[in-house]
Formats: sequence, C-alpha cells, structure tokens
Amino acid sequence: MSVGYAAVGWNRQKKIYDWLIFGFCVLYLLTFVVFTASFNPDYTFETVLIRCTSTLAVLLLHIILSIGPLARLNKKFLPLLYNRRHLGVTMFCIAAVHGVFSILQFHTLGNVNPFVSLFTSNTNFNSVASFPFQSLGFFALIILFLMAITSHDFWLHNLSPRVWKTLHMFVYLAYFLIVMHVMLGVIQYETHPVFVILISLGAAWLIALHLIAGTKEVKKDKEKFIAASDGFVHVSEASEFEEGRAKIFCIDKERIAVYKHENKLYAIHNVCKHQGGPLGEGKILDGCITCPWHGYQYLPHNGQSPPPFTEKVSVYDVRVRDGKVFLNPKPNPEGCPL
Amino acid sequence: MIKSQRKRHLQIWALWGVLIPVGIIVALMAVPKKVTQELLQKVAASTYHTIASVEKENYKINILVPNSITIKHPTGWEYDLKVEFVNKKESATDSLLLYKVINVTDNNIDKQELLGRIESKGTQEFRLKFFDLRVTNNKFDYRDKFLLYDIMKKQVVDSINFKR
Repeated sequence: MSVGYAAVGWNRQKKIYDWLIFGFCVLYLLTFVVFTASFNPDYTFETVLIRCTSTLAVLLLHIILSIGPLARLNKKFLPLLYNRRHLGVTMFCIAAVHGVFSILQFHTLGNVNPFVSLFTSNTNFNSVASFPFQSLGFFALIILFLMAITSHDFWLHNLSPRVWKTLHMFVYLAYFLIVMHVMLGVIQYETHPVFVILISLGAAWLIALHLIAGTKEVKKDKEKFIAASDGFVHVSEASEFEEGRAKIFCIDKERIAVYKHENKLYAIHNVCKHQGGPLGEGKILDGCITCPWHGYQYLPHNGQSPPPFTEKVSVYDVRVRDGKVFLNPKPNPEGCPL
Repeated sequence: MIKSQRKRHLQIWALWGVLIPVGIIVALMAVPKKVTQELLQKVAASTYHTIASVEKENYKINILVPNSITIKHPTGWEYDLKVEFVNKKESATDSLLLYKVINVTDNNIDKQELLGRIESKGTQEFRLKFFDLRVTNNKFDYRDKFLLYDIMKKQVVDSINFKR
C-alpha cells in the first residue's frame, strides 16, 4: 500500500459513494411510504416499515451479489467492487430494522420470550404452505450480522484472508434462505404476481451472471501455453498491451498478471496479499500496481508494497522478441527484483 | 481470487441454479387457491346490510345482518351478525379490545365476551354468534351493549349501548 493509503479511511470517493447509498436508501423508503399512504392508507406504520425495509434489503442484496461477476465481465464495474463492503453493511442495517420490527409486531404481544415465540409459534415444518418462514429470515440475518461485524480489516488480518473469504461466501447461503423466506412467507398470501415475477427475475439474473462469469474464468484457466527449452512461454503480442493495464495468463494453474508501465512489461502474481483480489484487473496508480478490491499497492519491478508497508508478491521474468511477449512461469522469490 | 475460490463460487451457483428454481416452483405450487379468498370476500361484502349504528367522535359501530334475514323470519335467528368497527381517524393506541356485554350484573371484564383487538386504523369486522335482535313496530330492534377496554391501562375506556 502507498503511504497515503489508509485501509479503512473515508477518502473523498468513499464519502461520495456512501452519500449516494444513503440518498438512494432514503429516497426508496420515502417513495415506498408515500405510495403506501396514498394507495393503502389502512396500513399501520409498523407494517409499512417492515415492508419497505424488506424490499430495499432484497434489492440491495441483488445489487451486491451482481457486483462481483459484473466486475469480472466488465472493468467499468470495478469502482463498485472497491466499495462493496459499505453497501453490504448498509444492507445488513436495513435488514436488521426489518427483523427487529417483525419480531416486535408479531412476537412481543404475548407472555413468551419473543425469540422463543419466533421458533415455537409455528412448528409446521412438514408443510410448505405454512412453513415457519420467519426462522429462515432469522438465520439469514444472523449470517449477514456475522459478515457485517467482520467486514472491518481488523478481522481480515486476524482471521486470515482464507478464513475471512470463506466466512463471507456464506452470503450465498443467506441469499438462498432469503429467497425461500420470501417465497414461503409473503408470496403465500400476497395475490399480486409482481412479487413472484421480481424475485424470480432477480434469482435468474444472479444465477446467469455468476455462471457466465464463472465459466469465462474456467476458460481462461484452461488456456494452453507451450514452454520452450529455456522455460519461457509465448503468451501474447506486445502490441496488445495497454499502458497502465494488465493482461492475465493462467500458466501451470497459476494466474500471472503482465502489466505495461512506462513502455515496459512487468509480470506479477495475480493474487493480492490482502484479500486475494485479482491484481491484473486493477491498474497502475502513482507508479504502483493497485488492487481493484481495496487499493493495496505493489511496485511493478519487485512486487513489494511501497514503504512502510511490507506485503510482497512474486514477480516473473518477461521478454519481448520480435514483438512477441515471452513469460517464464517460474516465480522469482517474493520481493526479489527482476 | 485464487483458483479454489473461483471453483467454489462456480459450484455454489451451479447448485443454486438448480435449488432456487425448484424452491420457487414448490412454493408457488403450495400457494392456497386464490378463488377461495375472492369468493369469501365478495359474498361477505355483498350479502350484509346495516340495521343499527352508534357514532362517536373517533369511531362508528355498525351492526350488519345478512340480506337473507327478513322481519318475517320465524323466531330464533339462524344467522350470525357482524359488528363493524370503523375508525374515523387514526387512534393513538392499538391496545384496545372490544367486548360484548353478556353479564350485566358483573363489572369484571373477564366475564364479558371478547370479540377482538381494535387496530389503530381502518375498519374491522367481528362475528356475533349470540345477540339480542328483535322485531319492534315492523323494524329490526338491536339491543346489545359493547365495551372498549384498554389492555395497557386495564380499564374500560368507553361503552357503546344499542338499547333505546
């Protein structure tokens, strides 16, 4: 990382991004409340709040889950990826309001503990139509809570990137639970088809997007390169590289990013030491290769983060002959200059 | 992402690609038939009419009888009546309960018949299985008494008397 970079600092871009999220959420909630007051004035405030927060949380979750594959398919979406955690925490807060008010509305009027009531008021686990759908939402909310409280870099460092990433992949389980929470809950008594259509379209969009992006990655991983006797492999033409950007090649199951910087080519291991982000999808800023996920930076010629930071990634030898680019897939030791 | 993570992502979404559509279809097949709900609402709305009302500042209570009840009906009503509670404006509390007085000699609220909770907004209906409905001067004469009880304050806050 650069000296000026603060891992969790609120720089200008983050502030703009956060204000946009806040403005969108407020606008959505206000619109929902005004429309409900106009067309269904009989609803109580609690009911409107439960409904507007639930729909907003589901919408935000779809946006969050779209950002990853969209960024892999088109680099224009990378700025969204950079700030995805803020959107995730916002979504959890809105979902928490929905959960808390639902428990207040439906489980606090009796003399049973609300959480006991949540799991004992309906035990029709053998019925689809009257399945206790609230428990599905509760477990999804627990997963989102764990993700929100561990979203800070403190937990990333303490849990290790591998454990942290594994924990955060539970968002997919949360998504499945939420889809079933909606289908077995509101859809069972809400007669208007728009709800089913929206949730089905949302699921179809996410499934298609992730499968397309995932399949594209598999194709990239399966690309074959033939090594010459000196260990170098021909990977591309020099004219195909764009200044400050990289092309990624998968050789011997390892992804290597080849960057063009000041008319020279540099090869670096594609996985960021911070959170496993794809370095080859970033760009060169202030002379450093910058990870698109959270802005961690590495010097192109030796793979070291600029002082005082200590992260290092492997670098690789690159040759250009007759306009052809050759790459040695054997990495130099981490931090060792080319 | 490293290769194993990319692979796991793809595996999970391939699994969801099967499980989510199946879950949506199963849930849709379990949705109760819409016709039943429509039928109940239309019949309920169209076959009752008001025979008595008491209006207060914040609400109005109507007594609804089925259209099939006639004044010439033999003694002994074989129908249920409905009590319609209409909030004229939003109530500050949603802790009100509506009781029908069935024991005039005992002031204890537990001795009366609980009809249900009053929402802070809108119109609600409660079914009456037992009631005092007579025919006087060729007109329906309804004579029950109701109580509004605040469960938080634990006191009767209003009474509605249809006796003339």
